[in-house]
Amino acid sequence: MPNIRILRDVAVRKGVKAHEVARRAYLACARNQALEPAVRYQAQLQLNNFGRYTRPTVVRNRCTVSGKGRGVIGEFGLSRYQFRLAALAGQLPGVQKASW
Amino acid sequence: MTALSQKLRQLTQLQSVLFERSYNPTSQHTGARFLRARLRGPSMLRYYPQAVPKRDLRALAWEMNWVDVAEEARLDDLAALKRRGKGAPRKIPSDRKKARAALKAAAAAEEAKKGGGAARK
Repeated sequence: MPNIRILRDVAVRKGVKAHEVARRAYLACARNQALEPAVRYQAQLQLNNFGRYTRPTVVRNRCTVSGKGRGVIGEFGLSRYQFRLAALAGQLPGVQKASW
Repeated sequence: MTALSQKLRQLTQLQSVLFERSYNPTSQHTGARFLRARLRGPSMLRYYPQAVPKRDLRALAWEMNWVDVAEEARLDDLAALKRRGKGAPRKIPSDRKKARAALKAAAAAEEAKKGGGAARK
């Protein structure tokens, strides 16, 4: 069962997907130097009016098991502790405990 | 501006017309790269593994004729106990349930009275 941090992140991702096209359109207008400054300003205002849960930078790749936001090993999507547990249990193909 | 640079500029202008490219000698920002970039929402949504809802799993099991041996055994044992009169005791109805049942009975009685009157007439 995913915890609240994961659920919130999923909500953000859904919001990003739902508003991505509109956001892109406003972003392109706001950054287009060929347009009137007033138009660009209005586009930027519209961009600022989108909710927090529509911003792609709010999305964070959390641990898919524990929802931890830091110490996540990207290749496996697991926090370092969950990675250790899974690796020791032999659930990660090709991962071996190092010893030298 | 030397003659050569002017020629080069004309060349690029002509190229942009011929090959349907935008002519932008001052490298003005047009915001095109935000429109050109791929949409990231769909792949973002795929990050967390999807959990299959229990209801869907049960429906799938029903469809595929999968048998949960342990669950079947448990239900069989329960049925056997019930046959021997050793099943779980009946639940005492809660106060709310009793009140609801009484209300329902009263309504039914009222209905019957009305219906009976109409029939007699």
